[in-house]
Amino acid sequence: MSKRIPPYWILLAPGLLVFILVFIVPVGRLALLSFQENTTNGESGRAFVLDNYAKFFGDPYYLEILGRTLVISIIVSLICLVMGYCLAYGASRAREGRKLILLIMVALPLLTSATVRNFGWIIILGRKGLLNQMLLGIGIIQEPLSLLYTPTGVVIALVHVLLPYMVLILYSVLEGQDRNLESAAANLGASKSKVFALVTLPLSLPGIIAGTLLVFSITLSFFVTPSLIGGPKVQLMATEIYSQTINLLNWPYASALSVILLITVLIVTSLYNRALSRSQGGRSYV
Amino acid sequence: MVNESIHDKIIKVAHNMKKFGMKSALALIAATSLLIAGCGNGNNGEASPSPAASGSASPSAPTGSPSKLVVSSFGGAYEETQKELVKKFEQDNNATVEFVTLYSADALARIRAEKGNPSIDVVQFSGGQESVAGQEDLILKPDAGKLTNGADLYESASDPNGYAPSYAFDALGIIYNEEQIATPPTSWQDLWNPAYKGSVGLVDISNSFGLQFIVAAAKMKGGDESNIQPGLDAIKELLPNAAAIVKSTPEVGNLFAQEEATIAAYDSGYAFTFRQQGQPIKFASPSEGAIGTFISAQVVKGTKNEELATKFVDFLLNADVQKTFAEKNGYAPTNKKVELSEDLQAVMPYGEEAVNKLVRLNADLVNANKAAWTEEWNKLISQ
Repeated sequence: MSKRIPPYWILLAPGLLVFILVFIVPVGRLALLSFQENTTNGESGRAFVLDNYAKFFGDPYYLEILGRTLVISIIVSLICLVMGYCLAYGASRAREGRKLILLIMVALPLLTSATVRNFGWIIILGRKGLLNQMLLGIGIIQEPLSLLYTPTGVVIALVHVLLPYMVLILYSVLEGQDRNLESAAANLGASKSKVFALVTLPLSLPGIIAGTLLVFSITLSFFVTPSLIGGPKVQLMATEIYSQTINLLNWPYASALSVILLITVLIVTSLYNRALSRSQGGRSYV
Repeated sequence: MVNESIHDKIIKVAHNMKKFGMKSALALIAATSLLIAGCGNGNNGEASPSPAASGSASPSAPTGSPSKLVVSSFGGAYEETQKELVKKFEQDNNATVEFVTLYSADALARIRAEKGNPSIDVVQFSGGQESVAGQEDLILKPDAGKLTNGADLYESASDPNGYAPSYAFDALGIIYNEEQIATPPTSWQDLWNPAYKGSVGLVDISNSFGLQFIVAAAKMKGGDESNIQPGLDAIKELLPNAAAIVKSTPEVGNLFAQEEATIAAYDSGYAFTFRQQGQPIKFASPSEGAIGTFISAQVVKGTKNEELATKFVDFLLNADVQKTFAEKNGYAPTNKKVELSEDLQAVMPYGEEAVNKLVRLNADLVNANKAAWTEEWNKLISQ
């Protein structure tokens, strides 16, 4: 006798089907390709060699690219978290009529493509760009700052691109909180900062985790901003994968880089989740 | 009534679902995915006419519906001019030409990924990619007899491996801001002039012109395509003078527009375009010889329109077409019959003598070494 399908399988099926077709299958092929030898005549080389991985882990230059990518992703996530939390907190505490306007303003940048926004940053961040001219004009700096084509510039532009995601996630959590809990804490004599630190902040932890993980994983694989704002000097995983795929046609190596990036995301995500859930008495948020 | 019956069906399906075993559910998923995959393949092939296509074809002329040719082009003013020019080709051949914007490297990656079943019929290359495409068996050698304009071309336009000849030349030389730099540069060596410290524009190796410049620097210091190190060493000395390293033509234009860079090794054709856009940019050919860029259009192997595609390649070799292209975009003709005004002759490699002076890099050697050079270069400039 066959088992009955649990009802959740029926709900999962459509999404799962799409997921298998457009994610699992291509990534599986990518993983297979990453074990293939590269050839210059376009024919497929020997399968199941570890050359590509040996090349990556054997050369500090490539490890440095991965390290740089991780550091930039962490910095961007943290800046987005601080700025996004302030914004989301402010918006959720605003008067009823203004909330919508504030949220629309936050989400507005998402309506323009990231490429267009990044071209704007090229004009703002250049040595003779708006920002430098303004700072020079006020007299804060004597020499123009190098921002365009540097890691700092990449971080600035990435924060701008990814902030809306963070705000929208945090806002939904902060807005959904039971305010009576804050009132109760205040009533029992907690100062405003204590209320925030002991009630509001812990209650918003799921939003913080979801938001930082989302921003972190998008940054890790983001291509447009590092390519345009970072230029050829700021080499990150995504730009290196592009270069190997398009310019050098070394698809097996590009696949290996992609697999390494994917595994890195999975490791960091699970470590982060475990660390935070342990500190919260074993609750897992993701 | 209708609603009721649908409602009944849903209940029935739900009921059946309950009875379904796990196995049959999986089988269903597998079957559905096969179906979807099958549909996907069907749409790629020419066999399945979509209702929209057959509908729009009906009111067409008695000569039959026009055949469609997909051609890659480089975007911007370049593609605009080609779109204008191609109208005549479309009329003469009862065809429609659709342009897809792809830089040479992207175009090569695309036809490589689509090997055997290409979505592009004619591909345009400006960075010697036809050498790789030929080796990987991705493009077709055209029948010499079918290229009616072939006999009118300069000898150096012909492809060393027998693929379609170049339809335009341009040159890698020195572009500079004439308002900031009074004496025109005469040698590659001028880029190293300490006077230009902080305002030299450098171009990344991923860009064909950036790569050509590294080889030019190597040649200047006694190296060549098989010995690049002298070039990399020379560029290492140049790095402190660089305003920035950029990848694409719009970024080079931006560097000059914002006056961050006043001098750079770049392409004559784009120097022409920048000047047309109102920038005070001039092109100088270095005494060591400008590096030639040989732009060609190639028929993609596996195209279903080989004849029309070959005609299109031939069309680009036509003297009138090349004349317009030179006048509008500043690319030098490869057809001897093209006559240009003196003003134009001055800004591009025009005529037998000038064309023969262009240094042609060994594309096969360049492509074989490109991966190693790229790694060296990236390590050199990495931050």
